[in-house]
Amino acid sequence: MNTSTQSINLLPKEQRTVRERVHRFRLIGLSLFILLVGIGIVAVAIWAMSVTTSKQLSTVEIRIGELQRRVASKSREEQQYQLLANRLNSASTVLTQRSPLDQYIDEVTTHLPEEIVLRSIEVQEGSKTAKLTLVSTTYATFSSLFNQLKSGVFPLVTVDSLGRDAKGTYVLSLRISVK
Amino acid sequence: MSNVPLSTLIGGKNRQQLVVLLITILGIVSVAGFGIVPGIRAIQLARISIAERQAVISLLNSKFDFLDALDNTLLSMEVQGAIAAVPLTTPYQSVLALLQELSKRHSVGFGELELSRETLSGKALLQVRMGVVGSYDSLMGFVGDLEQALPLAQVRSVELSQSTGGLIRGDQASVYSAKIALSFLSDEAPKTIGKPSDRLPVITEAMKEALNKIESFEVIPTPQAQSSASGSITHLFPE
Repeated sequence: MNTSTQSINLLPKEQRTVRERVHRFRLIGLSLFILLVGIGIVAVAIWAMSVTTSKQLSTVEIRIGELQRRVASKSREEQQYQLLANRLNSASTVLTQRSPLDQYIDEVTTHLPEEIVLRSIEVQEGSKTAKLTLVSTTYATFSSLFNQLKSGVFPLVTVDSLGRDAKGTYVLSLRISVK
Repeated sequence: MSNVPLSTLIGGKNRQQLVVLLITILGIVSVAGFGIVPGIRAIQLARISIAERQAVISLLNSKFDFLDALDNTLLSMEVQGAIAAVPLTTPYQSVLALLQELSKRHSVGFGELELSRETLSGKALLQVRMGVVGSYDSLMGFVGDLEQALPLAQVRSVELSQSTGGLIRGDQASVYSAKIALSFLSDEAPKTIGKPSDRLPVITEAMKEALNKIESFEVIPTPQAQSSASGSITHLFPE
């Protein structure tokens, strides 16, 4: 036995449909009105937040102005510091770039055997190669030089010429790379 | 349903409700479009702006603390040393004083001497080409000391050749002549220190190392400095 109750709408079908539509229409209207109120509340909240944020922003601006004045009061120190940094930047570049040519020359000449005389040496910045002219009265003295050079003291040795001049002096031209 | 005329829905009280509904929709669109969306955008922008300004405040605070903690006396001395190393103007006088002093110290004789000024990437380079005469040791000492003095010299090339002397190594009677090319950098001071909110330049380890080296280098007082100190006129070169 079915005990459930059902409401029976006795209105004609057309009128019933119209009432339902009117009811829906009102419901939508009410919903939209509630939504409008909600959006209004949100708008007010946003306005309040924007006012607060603006106040924060102006406070921060005032603080920046105050700090800028404090920093400006140290302008002499700042000038000095900036000048120091500027000079040191240039000085550091020069010190990094420059090659100790006197040390290269020393390094080359200290490895030369005692019997050999340095007639000329030429060193250019940026190139670690020294161009040398060495002289000796006997050819035999050069053998000790060649032995020295073969020992690997210098990474690269290139002999350009070896000859004897009118006075009977042996002249050796070579290029030596320094480590 | 299709038989119900529209006038049934929009007539009388319902029409009034429809107008209210339309106004409500218009209100929602207006409030959302002209109030909420721009408001949220404005708040976002303001927050970004506040965050940026907070960073500026932090920078200004640390900059002030740093500048406040600087030792003025020490800073002035360091600046003096750094200016002596890389002068603000082309260092004709100090270079001549340096060459004169070092040539005297190492008994090196001067032959030719040419000073010319070049500009490279906005910085001035004083190019010096000189011919000097002396023993091997004195010439090497001269070049070595040039690199240990201020203004900072960059030795570009050295051509050393035996002028007179025998074939005995280490013969003190052997005279060498040398052609030496040098350059000295000078640079104008920065035009401006910038805005208070600009960051201070960082002094790197390489720059500190350069400062330490500079402090150990020799400064030859220029004749101008000597005369202003003693109150007498000093000639650049001896007569």
